[in-house]
Amino acid sequence: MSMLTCKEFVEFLDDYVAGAQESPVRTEFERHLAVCPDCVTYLRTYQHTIALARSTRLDPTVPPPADAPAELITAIPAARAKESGRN
Amino acid sequence: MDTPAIVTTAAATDPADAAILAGLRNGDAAACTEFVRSHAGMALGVARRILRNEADAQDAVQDAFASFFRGLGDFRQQSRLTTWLHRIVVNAALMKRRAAQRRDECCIDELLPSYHADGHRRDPRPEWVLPSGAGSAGDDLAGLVRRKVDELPDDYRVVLVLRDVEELDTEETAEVLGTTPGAVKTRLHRARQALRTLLEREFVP
Ligand SMILES: [Zn+2]
Repeated sequence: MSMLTCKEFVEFLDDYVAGAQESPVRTEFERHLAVCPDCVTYLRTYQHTIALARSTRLDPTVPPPADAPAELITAIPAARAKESGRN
Repeated sequence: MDTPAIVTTAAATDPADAAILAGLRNGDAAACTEFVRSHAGMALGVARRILRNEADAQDAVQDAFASFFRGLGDFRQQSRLTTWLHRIVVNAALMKRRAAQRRDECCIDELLPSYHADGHRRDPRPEWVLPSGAGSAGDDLAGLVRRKVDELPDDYRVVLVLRDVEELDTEETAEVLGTTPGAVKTRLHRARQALRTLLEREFVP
């Protein structure tokens, strides 16, 4: 079996990172990584990217900096009062 | 006939949640205002990541709180109130996004890697030097990453936000966007590669 090209390596990198490949395919990926430092770097920075994106998630249990405009904060309970008044 | 004892699972519920929930369900105006005051910032942050337009994000937050209050009677306490609100905000923002005019798609191709005809990479990728230190520096890093995510074309950005930031799975993402899991998978991979390129410009000295 011939070696994966960098293009093929990157094309299926999401599956590789998710661990979603059958082991023969994984072995091909690892063979490519063993000889291609560029793809090692690409893999590492791709994983950094995912981790960095994940780190921007706001923890719903931690109160964020209160930058919601005051009008919005007053409008919501007002709408709620109006709605329950109708019922 | 004896009725078997029902083991309640409500013990898992945060007691603070139970108190807040009781106040909200009674229509207590002060409890309602307090809840909105402490959660509007989080809700707006989530909506802003899905909708780039500030007015749309605020509308989505209003819609979300309205469905939140309407749905209180059905809330089963299997999740935290805040987790449940978070999910409602994501849905409200997606509804708003669907209704809004799509932003012009810029070309994502220029952010993807290019190859020679034989499949070899055109230019080697340099290593990154990530800004070190936690605390305030960590917050700056998250801010930088958020700005870079915002630069992605809309269709790609929203998939990346739902999958990698909000951590919905492929099927859920496909469902809320009204598309196929295959399309979500392709777009996510391209979005990550494009974001990788945008971040590389920041992290390579
Ligand atoms: Zn390679």
